[in-house]
Parts: sequence; C-alpha cells; structure tokens
Amino acid sequence: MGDASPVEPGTGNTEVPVVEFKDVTVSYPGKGVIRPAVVDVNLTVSKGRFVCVVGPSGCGKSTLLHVCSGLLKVTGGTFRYQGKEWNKLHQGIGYVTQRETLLPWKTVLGNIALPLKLNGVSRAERRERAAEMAASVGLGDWLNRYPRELSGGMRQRVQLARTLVTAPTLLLMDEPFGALDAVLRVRMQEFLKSRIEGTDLTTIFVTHDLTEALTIGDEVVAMAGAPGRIDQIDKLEDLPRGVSPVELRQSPAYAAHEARLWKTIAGNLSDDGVALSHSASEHDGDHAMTAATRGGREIS
Amino acid sequence: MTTVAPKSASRATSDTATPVDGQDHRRERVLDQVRLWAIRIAIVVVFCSTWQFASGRIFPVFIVSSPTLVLERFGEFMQGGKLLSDLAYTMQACGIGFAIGALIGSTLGLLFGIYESVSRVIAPFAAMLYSTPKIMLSPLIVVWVGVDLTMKVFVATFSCMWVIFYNVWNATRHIDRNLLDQFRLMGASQRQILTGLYLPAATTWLLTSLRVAFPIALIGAVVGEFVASSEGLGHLALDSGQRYDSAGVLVAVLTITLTAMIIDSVLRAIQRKVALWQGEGVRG
Repeated sequence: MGDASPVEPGTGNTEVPVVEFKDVTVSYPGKGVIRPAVVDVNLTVSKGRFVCVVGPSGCGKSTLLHVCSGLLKVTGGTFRYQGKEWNKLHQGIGYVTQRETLLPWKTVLGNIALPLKLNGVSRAERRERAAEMAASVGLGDWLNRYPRELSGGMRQRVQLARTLVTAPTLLLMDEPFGALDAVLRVRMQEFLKSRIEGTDLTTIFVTHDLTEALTIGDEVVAMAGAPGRIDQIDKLEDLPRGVSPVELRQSPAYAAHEARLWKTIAGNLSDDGVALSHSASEHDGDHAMTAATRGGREIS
Repeated sequence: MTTVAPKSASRATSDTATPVDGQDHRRERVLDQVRLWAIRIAIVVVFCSTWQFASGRIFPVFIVSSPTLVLERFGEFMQGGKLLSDLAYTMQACGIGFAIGALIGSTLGLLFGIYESVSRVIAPFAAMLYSTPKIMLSPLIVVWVGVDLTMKVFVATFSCMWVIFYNVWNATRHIDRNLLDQFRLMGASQRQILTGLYLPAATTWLLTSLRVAFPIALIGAVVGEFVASSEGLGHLALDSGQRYDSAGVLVAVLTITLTAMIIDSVLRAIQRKVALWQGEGVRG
C-alpha cells in the first residue's frame, strides 16, 4: 500500500510488504557535486498490488525501479525487498523497460526461454514452459519467428512473456507501452491486467500517462520535483472495475482522481518544465476535455 | 490486393502486401543483373583493347606490357607449376597470420570491452601500436624470427590484428546497457553474459573487421616476401620486376588480387547470413 506502514490500514494485514522505501535518498555523482535524484521517499507496496508511478520527466520514477531491482543502491534511508535489505541484485524480479531488450538473434521461443536457460532449467522443460507462456500471450503460432518479424505490440508481449515465465514476485515496468500507438497501448493495458488479475504478482508500473495509470492501477503514486519526491498517493478502490475503459473514464470517481492527481503534478511544473503526457483525448473523444486541457496548458 | 498469411509475411505489421507478381519481379532482377554484368564486361573489354592498342604504339612494351603478354606469361607460370606453388606459399603465410590475428584481435577486443579498468590503462598503448606503420617493423621482425615462413606470418598477424581488435572492442564496450542489465537481472553468470550476449553482439562487427583485415594480412605476407624470400607471389613480383618483366609482375599482382576478391566474397556471404540472423542488412 502507499504508506510507510507495513500494516494495511483497515485490513489487519501484517504480511511483510514486498517493497518498502523508508526515507530513501538516491544520489548520483556529478562533476564535483553529488546530485540527488530522489529524496525522502516513503512507499510501501504489499503483495499483489498494482502501483502506478506518474510524474514529469526527471522526477526519479525510473530511479525507484532501479532501486527495486537492485541495480541501484540507496545513498540514504532504507530499502527493503521482501523484508530484507539486499546488497546485490534482487531475486525474483521481472523488469520490462520501454526500450526493447529482446535478443535479435533469438526466436520468440529462444527469447522467452532465455531466463530459464540462464538459470539451468533443462532444455525440454524450458521449451515447454516458454511455449506455454508464448501461447498465453497469444504468440503460440510465432514461436520460431525473430523479433524483426514481429510488430511493436507483439515484441512487447514477448518481453512480457520472458519476464513472466520465471514467475517473478515483483514486476517492474518502466513505460513499457510508451512507444506504442494509442489503440495498441489500450489493448496492451487490457492484456496486462488480464494476465495479472487473480495472481499474487506485485507490480510497479512507471508511466507518463495519467489516464493509463488510472485505468490499470490499484493506486497511483504522484512524483514531482527535481530531486524527485512523492507528493501524493491516491488509492483507487472507489473506481468501478470490470467496465470498459470508456465507461471507467466517464465515472465521477475517475474524474475526481484525475483532477486531484493532475492538480498535484501540474502544480509542481514550471512554465518551461517537461509536462506530463495526458492521452485521454487519444483514447476517448467524448472525454477529451481533461483537467490538462481545461487548464489551457499544453501537454506533451 | 493480396492478403499475406503470417507464415509468408516478412513482418507481422504488414497485414496486406503490395500486389507484386513474383515472376515479373524475378525476371526484372535477372535482367538487372545481366545489364550490370554487361556494363562491367564492356568496361574490361574497352580497357584491355585500349591497353593492347597503346602497348608498343604509345608506350614501350617493357613498361606497360600488354594483355596478350600477360596471358602468355600466365600460361608459362602455370605450366611449370610455379604460380600455384607461389600462391600456396603466400596464402599459407597470409592464412595463418590472419587466423592468429583474428584470434588475438577478437580476444583482446572482448577483454578490453568487458573490463573497463583494463581498457583505461591499456588504451593509449593500443592506440600507439595501432598508429605504428607495422610494415616498417619488418626488418626488426627478421632479426627476431629469421627469414622463413614464420617471419611472413608474424608480419601478416601484426598488420591485421589491430583492425579486428578495434572493431570488437568498440562492439563490446558499446553493448546496450539495458540488455546487460536484463542479463544480470535474469541471474546470468559472467560466462553466460560473455557467451550469450557479448559474443553474439560482436559477431557482426567481427565479420566486418575480418573483411577489412584479410587484405591487410595479405599485404603483410607480401611485404614479408619483399623483405626476404625465395618463394611466394611477392617474391615472384619482385623477381620479375628486377628482370624488367612487367608481364610477370602483373601476373603476380592479378593473381593476388583475384584471390583476395574470392575470399572477400566468401566473407561477405557469411556476413550477409549473420546480418540476416541478427536482423540487420548489409551493403557492399
């Protein structure tokens, strides 16, 4: 959940959180100075939650994911993964980046089976599991194709399948659908939700797109500033689920969350700052009058 | 409009193909190739005719020789088996030197690319050696290893390994950090990262560098023969030149050029295969 306490309020849930940031600061060494990327981050994510992190460019969203994966160490405060402080790469983590990381010399099957191969799973077993995973993401007929033969959406599905095939505990996604067109992005969002719903998989999903965050997240973490900090954590329990994206965006609760989050994010932008992408107008023509456009601010 | 099924689609994004008649397309490609070769052959014919005409009329025969004299000398060298034996000697020195150069160059390139700390220490020395005119070291190499085949192999190796080294080094150190992170997050060991990521990623660069390095190795072997040898095409050219036999020199030069072209075409074919495998295209 989006607070510093491991106890989920109102539920009595004392389960160890999957991810816990406590007063975390991360700094990068610059030319003669230490540049903090994020400061005083407090965030707790419980098992099975889908947390979206939104905010403008340079506010440290990706830094949080790097800390979660173990690729980056905190320089202040404490970070715990499954209740423990780690000094090496964290285990049981799947990381999907916006930038494609498929191996061009491997087929769909080879790419999906790669993490199994690296972890010593036998050839027969990894082929079987990879084929099953490929089928579950709708690529069962494309096993022997190379990434160059696939569309952008299919390549993203292969990346997702490669990440899920090891049954990770924590799924980190850094603007995975940022390069896709609006229609494909909505399809991929629906696809992702359908894959994750009903599982214990915990997901932290970074996006520029507030609509995307509100559509697929259980809660939205709004970051701002440079160095970045968490300004608001909005839980989305009151949003109607199991409805179409268009219906969801027409609900009063959605509009309230959107307005509140947008106020937080936009309030922290300088006039020449990098603005938050806001693509509701791309997805839903009737609902195009978003908080951003209503405010007359041009958004990117 | 022809709908293309996924199995025959070159890319999944193209749900529909442009209406192309396969046979017409093939015929057009064949005609294009015929035209290309006709022009090339015409250029050679015009050049040889002009050369034959000018030889003895405009320029002295002993300076420019002539196509007929070159063919005549080629026949003589072939009859005695001299040409093939000299070619074998040169190719032996070149081949061994090239193989050793490729091995040393690619190994060093990988090591330097992977271990940045080593790279930072050694980089200026590598740049110095790369800039050194290797052929000028030939007399020194004679002092070190003598005048037999080893010397020619040494010169060929030392000449060609730097191109390979720099290409593989570049490929390795510019590897996509995201891919590297993915491998690490998937739990890959150093050995798995080397064999599963670095080596395949460097293959395209390695093949490109091999195409560049082979003629350099050949030049190294021939220069070695120029310095001291009683065999090889370098020796044949030098010996013919000393006897004012321009045709003999040209036979040696043409033989070595054609051999280099054949080997380059083999390497290019391999490069194309690998480039297709890696989802890239190759020109040239």
